[in-house]
This record gives sequence, C-alpha cells and structure tokens, in this order.
Amino acid sequence: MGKIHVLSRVVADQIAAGEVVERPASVVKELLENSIDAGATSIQVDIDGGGVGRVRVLDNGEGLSAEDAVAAFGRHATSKIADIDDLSRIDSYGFRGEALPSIASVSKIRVDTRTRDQVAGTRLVIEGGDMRETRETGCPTGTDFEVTDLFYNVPARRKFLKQASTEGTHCVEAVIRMALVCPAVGFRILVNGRRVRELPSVDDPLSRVRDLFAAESLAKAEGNEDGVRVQAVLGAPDRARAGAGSLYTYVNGRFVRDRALLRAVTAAFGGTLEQGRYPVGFIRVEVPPAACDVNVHPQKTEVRFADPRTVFRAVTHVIGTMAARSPWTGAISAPVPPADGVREEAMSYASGRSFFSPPASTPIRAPRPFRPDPTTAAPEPSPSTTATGGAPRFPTGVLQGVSAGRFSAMHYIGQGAGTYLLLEDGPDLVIMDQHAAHERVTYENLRAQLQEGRVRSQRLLVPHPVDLGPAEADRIMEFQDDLSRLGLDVERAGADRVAIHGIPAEAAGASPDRLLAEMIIALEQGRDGSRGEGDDRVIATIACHSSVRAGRSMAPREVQALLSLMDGVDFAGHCPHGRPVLARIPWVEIGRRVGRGSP
Amino acid sequence: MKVTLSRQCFSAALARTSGIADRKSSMQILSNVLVSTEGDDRVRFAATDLSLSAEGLFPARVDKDGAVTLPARTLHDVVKNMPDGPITLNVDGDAVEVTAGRTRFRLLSLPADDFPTIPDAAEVSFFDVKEKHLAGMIDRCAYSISSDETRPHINGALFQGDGKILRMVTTDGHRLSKVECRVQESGFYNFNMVIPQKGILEIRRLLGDSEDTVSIGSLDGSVFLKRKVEVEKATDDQPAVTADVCLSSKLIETEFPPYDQVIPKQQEKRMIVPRGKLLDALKRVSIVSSDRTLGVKFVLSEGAVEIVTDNPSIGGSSDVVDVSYDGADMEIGFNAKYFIDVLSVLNDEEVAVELSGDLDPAVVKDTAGEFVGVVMPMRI
Repeated sequence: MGKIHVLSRVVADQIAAGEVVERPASVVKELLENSIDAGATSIQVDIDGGGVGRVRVLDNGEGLSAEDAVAAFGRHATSKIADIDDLSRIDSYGFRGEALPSIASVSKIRVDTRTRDQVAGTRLVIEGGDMRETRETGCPTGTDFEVTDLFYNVPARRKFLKQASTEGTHCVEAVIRMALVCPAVGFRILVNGRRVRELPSVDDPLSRVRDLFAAESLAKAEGNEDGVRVQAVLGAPDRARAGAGSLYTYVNGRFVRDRALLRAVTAAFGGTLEQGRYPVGFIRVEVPPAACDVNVHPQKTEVRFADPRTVFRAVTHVIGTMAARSPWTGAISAPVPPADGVREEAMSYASGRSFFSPPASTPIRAPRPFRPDPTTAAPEPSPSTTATGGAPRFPTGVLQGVSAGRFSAMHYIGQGAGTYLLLEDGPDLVIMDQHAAHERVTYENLRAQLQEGRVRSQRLLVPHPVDLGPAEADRIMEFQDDLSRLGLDVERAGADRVAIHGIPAEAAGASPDRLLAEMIIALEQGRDGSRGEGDDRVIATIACHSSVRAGRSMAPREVQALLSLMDGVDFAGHCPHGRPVLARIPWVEIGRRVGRGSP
Repeated sequence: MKVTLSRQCFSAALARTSGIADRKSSMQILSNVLVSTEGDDRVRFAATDLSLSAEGLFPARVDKDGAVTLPARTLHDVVKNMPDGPITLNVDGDAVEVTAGRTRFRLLSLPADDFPTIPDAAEVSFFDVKEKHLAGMIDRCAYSISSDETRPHINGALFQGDGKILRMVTTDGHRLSKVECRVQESGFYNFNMVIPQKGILEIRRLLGDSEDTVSIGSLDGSVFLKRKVEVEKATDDQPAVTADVCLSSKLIETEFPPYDQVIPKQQEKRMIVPRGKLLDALKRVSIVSSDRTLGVKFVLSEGAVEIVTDNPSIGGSSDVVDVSYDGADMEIGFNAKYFIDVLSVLNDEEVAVELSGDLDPAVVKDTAGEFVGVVMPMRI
C-alpha cells in the first residue's frame, strides 16, 4: 500500500476544525455570526460547563428550510458568497463555509430551525459529523442551535483546554464582542443556567457600551474621513486599563485585534495615556469592503487594510478631536446613569415580557457596514489648527452623560512654575494649567452671554484709537455689527482710523487693538462656516485674551475663585484651543517613583 | 563691625525695611538687609527690590564700625524670638553672630559692597503733608489703579501739587477716581508725578491717620517719603525713642493720560443715593452672578433705583433702594464690582450719582466735593 492516501472526510474536517474551532468560545462566535447574518434581533446564549459541556444559541432570525439546514453542514456550504469576486465585497460575518462542518465534526449537535413561511420546523441531530436524525419538529421562527460535548472525539484538543470557568469567560467575552457591534440586537447570556448579562436592544452603541461599562464615564465620537467611517465610545484616559483587553475594536463590524488601530488610539490621546494603557470602550471602523482583507485568518481577528495610513489618520483624528475636549474630565469618577429609555427597556424584560418579542425600534440588519451617506455622515472638522494660526472649531454642545465637575472640592496645594496649580483630588495629584483653565471658564461665560443675545461689553473711559489704512478701516467697519454683538464696539474715527469704545467685559483687561485685530481674523475665518461657528472662533479668541497668563502668581483666594468658576462650566477638561487643562498623576504612581510601592 | 540695639528697636527696624527685601529675586543679595554703622550711635538698615527701597536710621551702640548684609527674613525671625533686652550683632569673618544674653545665632552674610546703591535722599527738597491727608487720598484712589503692567502710564497714581491743592488721580481705563485735598498749611505746592501701584501701597503702609506731618519729595525719577517713627514708647524715666525712615520708589516716566477730558462737565440726570444702602443692595444682588464681570442693571424711576441681575446659569436677583431722583426713567448696566469699589472707599451718608445716556459715563461725587469717581457702563 502506498504511503500517501486521501484522508477521510471526518478526519479532514477535524483537522480544519482545529483551525476554526480552537475552543468553546470559537463555537459561540461562529454561531452568533450565523444568527446575526440571519437577521436575528434577539439572541440567547447558554453556556454550560465552560462551553465544553454545552453551548446553545437561540435566535429569532430567519431560520433555515429543511433542505438548507442539511446543506449547511456540507463542506464550504455558505449562503454568503458564490464566487471569488464576492470575497472582495464581504459584508456578512461568515463566508468560508467551514464553520458548521468543522464544529459538527468535533461535537454533538442538535438544531431546531424554522423559516417564517414554513409550517413545521426541522430538527437535525449530528454526532461527530454524522447525520443521525432529520425530522420535522415544532419550533418558533429562528434557529435553536445546541452544541454539546465539544471535542468529545478529539481528546488531544480537549486536554489543552483551560479550566471550565476560564473557557466560560472566553465564551461570554465572545458574546460581548458581538453585542458591542450589534446594539440593535438584544442579548441574554446564561452561564450554567444563571443569567449573567441582559443586554436589551438599544439604538446606538453608546447605550450598549454604557450597559457594559456602567461604572465608566463615556464619551462618543463619530466621523467620516476619506471614506473611513469611525465611531467610538470611550472611557476617560485617566481610567485607562493596562493592555487593550477592554478596548473592543471592530473593522466593518468584525472584532479585530490590530496593532495599528491601537497605535492610532494612543496617538489620538496624545500624552494623556500612559504607555501600554488603553481606555475602555469601543471603536468601530468602516471601510469599503474592497479596502480591507479580513480573510487573513480563520479566526478573522486580523485584518489588512489596502491603505493603512488613511485608516490610521481617520481614527487618530476622530478620536483625537473628542479627546481634545476631554468630555470626561468633568465627571470625575461619577458613574454614568443609563439613559432613561434603556432603563425602561431593561425593566420591561425583568417584568416578564417575552425575551423574543421584537424591540421597539426597527433593528438594522447587522452587521451591514455603514455606507458613506452624505446626508447623515457629517464631515468632521479639520484638525486643530492652532499651529497654523486659525482657531479650531470645537464642540459647543453639552455632551451626554457628562456632568459638571467638582473642582472646588479639590485641595489646593500650591502653584508651580508660576503656571501650574497643584491640587489634590482623592487618589490623584492634579496638575492644572491656570491659563487653560481660566480660558475655558471665560469661554463658557461668553457663550452663555451670547446665547442670551450679545456679549456684555464694558465701555472704555477713553475710546481707544486704532490707526489703519483706509481699506483696512473699511474692512473692519464691515464687521461692525458682528463685533458689537460679540462685545466690541468700534466706530469710524476718520478716513484711516477707527476707535474702540467698548470691549467684551470678560476681556476687560485685554489690549483693545490686539483684541480687535484677532477678532477680525477670527470673523473672517469663520465667514465661510455657519454664524455659530464664526462666533465660536471669536469668543475663543476673546477668552484667550482675557485669561490669566502663565507665569503669573495667583493668590490662593484667586485659585479658589477659579475652581468654583470651573464647577459651573459644563466640561472644563480642555481649553478652547483643545489643550488639556489638567493632568492627573495617581499618588500611587508617585509612590512607585519614590520606591514606596503600594500603600 | 559690632553693634548693640534694644530688641524693640532692632525689631522695628526690620519691620520697616525687611518687607521690601525681595525674597523671590534671582539676585540673592536683594533678599538681604544692609546693616551699616552711622557715627557711633546709629545703625542704618536698608532693603531694596531695585524699584522700591526703604532705609532707616535707628539708635544703637556702635562698638566697631562696619557694614554687612544678612538674610532679611531670617534675621527678622531671629530678632523677634530673642529674649527681651539688648541684642548684639558681631561680624566674624563671613558669619555674623547675633547674641542676646545666652542666646546665640550664627548667620552667614554677604558682603555689603555687593549691595545695590539705593537712591540718596540727601539732595531732595521735601515738602510737608499731614499724613492723614495723604493716607486719605490714597485710600480713596488706590482701588482704580490699573494692575495691567503692559500699560505703565496708568499702572500708578498721578500725584499733583497745584498751589494749595493736592490731587491724586487713578484710572484703569474703565473707571477713574480723583481726590482733591485743600491744605491749610503754609506752603505752595508745584509738582507732578506718577507713583507706581507698588510704591503707593508701600507709602500707605508707612502712613497713619494722625495730624503728624510727613515729608515728600522727588529727585531723579524717584519719589521719597520721609517720616519719624516711634520705636520705643516713652516711659516715666525715658522719652520716646524715634527713628528716621525713608521710603523711595521709582516713578513712572510716561505721562498720565489727560484725565480732565474724561470727567463729564455736565450730566443730564442726578440722583442722591444713601451710600450704605446702595452698597448693601449691590453686594446682595451680585451673589447671584458667577461672572467675573458681575453685570448688574440699574433701573431708575422716580424716587427709586432697582438693581437687577440676570444670570442664565444661576438665576437672578433684584433689590430696590429709595433715592432722591426725579429725572426720566432709564436703564443702565454696570460691573457691580466697579460701583461697590467706589462706594466702599467713601464715608459719606449720601453720595450723588450723575448719569446721561446708557452708554455714557456715570459720575459719583461725595458731599465735601473732594472726590469724583467716573464709572463706565457695561452694555448688558
């Protein structure tokens, strides 16, 4: 007999299974992908004995006909692609057609499934890849997929599994990875019959992330750049975790572990993240299917981008813009309450409503990637342009879930380098940039005044004359009304001269002519945008001029006053130019530096 | 050098001078006080931060001539904590021994030759002013000195002698105050100087509210204020011990703005307000104003002025003060702090507030006709 012979189908499947089905969590992942590809809006996952004993995924998706159900266990049977060209347009999870036969070859499977238009469902029972039973059965629309005794026929593989509790954790993690990217799908997780997670269907990722990280203050960023759509919900950098374990990254709806993406996050946070630490949360990147290759590995946690630099730039920028305004800083370790709607939803589940009743909002068919949609995908502002002289645009809305801070409760230690205020806040040493802090406060005051109508203007005792060329004087007078609305009263005082009669009260100490010059620049830059955008630029300029300069010593009383003012500001984390107002160093870290170790 | 002073005298000498010594200066010697002998019965103490200087001659027993500089603050602390009785200062190489009874300190010194020269008052022609007059003028004007160091011409007080009138004017660009003081004493003033804010405050520290006179004069861009201070009270068997103290400050060289044009000659509306009540009302309503700008509205009607604040993020407040007013109704906004400041420095029961349009200056006048305050409105 020749040395070479063809492997039996079962052995071949078992070998393939080694790649696809590494551990029980892989089964969970494959089954969830199928459920979501089937349009399920509610999924229940049961994990018994670390998933080795039993994994059951129950969904309300479209189900399979008897014929399809049987075919699904054939090698490379897939509904998702037909020819190799489709590979470049993959927008569903599974596509290799390897998953089901692989799982089937190393476990015992029972499937009950029914499509909406069938009267009776189908039951399949498969053991070690062999079809044992095919019959009609009564079941609801959807698929109930049960995998028991995983690796019962591959003892070598079974030996390498970790403790049941560890494998169970991995299984739950697999569900969470999926749940984060499919917020419209309700998930319920039971481990050994005990319900461990109930994630109701919600409208947006923020609510889903919030359900999962209830103790974190979270902020959301969204943007679309060069065809790369980025969506992120992230926790505060000062609560970042060692390692990226709690940062869930997705490309085109698939969970991936990509170093470049993590580097982009680090870059976006600038110096605020410690080395090797990542914020908790969720980042979703959408690129056209043709622009990335997810077919690198059967586990599909790796991805290759056609143009990694564009992706890097987009992620860095979108997250960086959010990080720059530091929406977390205000809510110092304050837990974020779930939005009202979410709470209600959760309670209605608890009060016995059927888990499989469809959620109130029409779910999207996850995970269809977002198509670049000009009507909804607002272009992100260009990066902060302080360096190039223009005032950056920054958000004016109050961020969801962020409350005002408690700065005045911090203990003031002293001033350093005439520039930084040192404060103690519970477990942290807080180093605050006095100019940036002040600027932020002034900016918010100005905005409040503007919302009331106009910026308050202090009249000058002696009108301040500004000599200009005639053309320049005309240019300035064009903006007379805008300037007046923004607190600067200017009048013509001759052919090539204007006189400043009043300046914004908040900037009472500023030099009037410099203020005029910079307000004009800001107004001209803002001309193309909306009026609100232009106003924002201008009041940022005013705020900068009116604020305590670095290098000026501040009396403790002044510091207290500043801190109380900061309490009243919506989110005082960054100065209007996007520089962070403060840095936190945990005392523990300082203890480590001086070799004190943990207290 | 070896000198001996009474503890009170030593302590008074340092209290008058060491405050000027600049602890934060990068020049270490500026944080020192210069101690040098003057004849055989007096010791000169001097300190400077290069723009302000203080020196004083204090009675002492001089055993050995010489001069030395010592860290002002440390020396002051040492002397304050010495037991009562005479304190001896004895120079021994680079160190100085300070002893009182059995208490002994050794302090490291810096050479007196390195100490900067401080303006010499010897050539100054002084004129005399009652200290209460000068103090009163500063008290009513200092609040409106601009603290903006980039505008040096108003970063101080204009001080003028105009025949029988002493005049002080200050402004920060949004308000102005002018005090005139008619002096009865013989003499005829004719001077014009701008004293920086720091100098004004140090001068004020040296003044009491008595009828005593102090001498003031200027030379080479500095103003000098000279007075006698009591360092030991008179006892039954000994008259009071006094010392001569002289403070000097560099003057601001740039011209003070022409203040006269800013003070309106004629205003349309005039109300007489109870100063204390208006002040209280302003303080009350500005509680509800987190702004640094403290915008308040004055709503004038016959016989009353209503003070109103409206802060979108906190709330609002209002209060009504009965005033004597029969002009037309009007509304005008102000920075409450500006009005609080000007009302606080006056003592009169009633003051006059004169107004014209809602963007025109307000004028506050006292009863005696010495004080005029101008406050520019805020457009709210």
